[in-house]
Amino acid sequence: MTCRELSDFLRDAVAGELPADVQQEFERHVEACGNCGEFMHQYRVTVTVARTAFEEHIAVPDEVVEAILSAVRNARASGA
Amino acid sequence: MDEAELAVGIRAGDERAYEALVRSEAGRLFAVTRRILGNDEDARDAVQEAFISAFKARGQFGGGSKVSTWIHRIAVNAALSKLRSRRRHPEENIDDLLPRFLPNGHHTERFTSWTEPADQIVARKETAELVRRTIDQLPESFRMAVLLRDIEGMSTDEAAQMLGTTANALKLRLHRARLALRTLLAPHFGGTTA
Repeated sequence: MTCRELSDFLRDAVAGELPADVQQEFERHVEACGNCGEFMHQYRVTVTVARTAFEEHIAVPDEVVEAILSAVRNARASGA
Repeated sequence: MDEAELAVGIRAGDERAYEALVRSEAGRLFAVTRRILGNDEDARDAVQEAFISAFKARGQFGGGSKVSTWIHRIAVNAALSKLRSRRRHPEENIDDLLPRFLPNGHHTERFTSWTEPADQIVARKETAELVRRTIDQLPESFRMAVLLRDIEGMSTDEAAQMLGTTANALKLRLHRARLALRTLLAPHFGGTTA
């Protein structure tokens, strides 16, 4: 497996979706190639920071909640 | 109101159930639609449209998923629909942000180790803001792949369906988006390449 092929397989590898024989080849390459090991590490960290970057709680103002409730009431009144 | 009562109330069109749902989910849905649409006003409209759509489609809520999951999907659809109605820009190419290879298949670059351990990068206060800004720089179709799969946690099939593409095309798009994101983040995490 070349570095290019390893890069192509990264998503499937991280998702645990590689066939067993390809996964073995993948792991052998990562053990032997420090550059690809670092590249895979950075790919994994990228996925993790993307997942956690949006862990936010947003308080919606009461008037927005009321507007939504009013819109649902209107939908009910119009027989929707 | 527990989940079972809520589900029954939603199916029946009960006003109290809708009020409980709006009060418990509006904040989370606003965060979702704002991530997709990028501004508060459109995000609020999308949340409102989602609740109206949910009310109209209450007969289709089968109870196979939680009410919160059901309304989340409806809100994502409302936001995507709004996004599609905006003027379309030609899709930008992200090839310049993808790794490059020599003819023998080796990387052209040596990757410098990211100096901080992953948990410290994640915990750093500025990281979240930096990552949000960086994701916003991705062309829309790549940004949507990251948002729906990595951030909203949808399955490949579900996200592909919402984006009107195939599962395989979405997997490739997500992979390229992550690779591009890594390239854009590298200078900030001590990983400049030589």
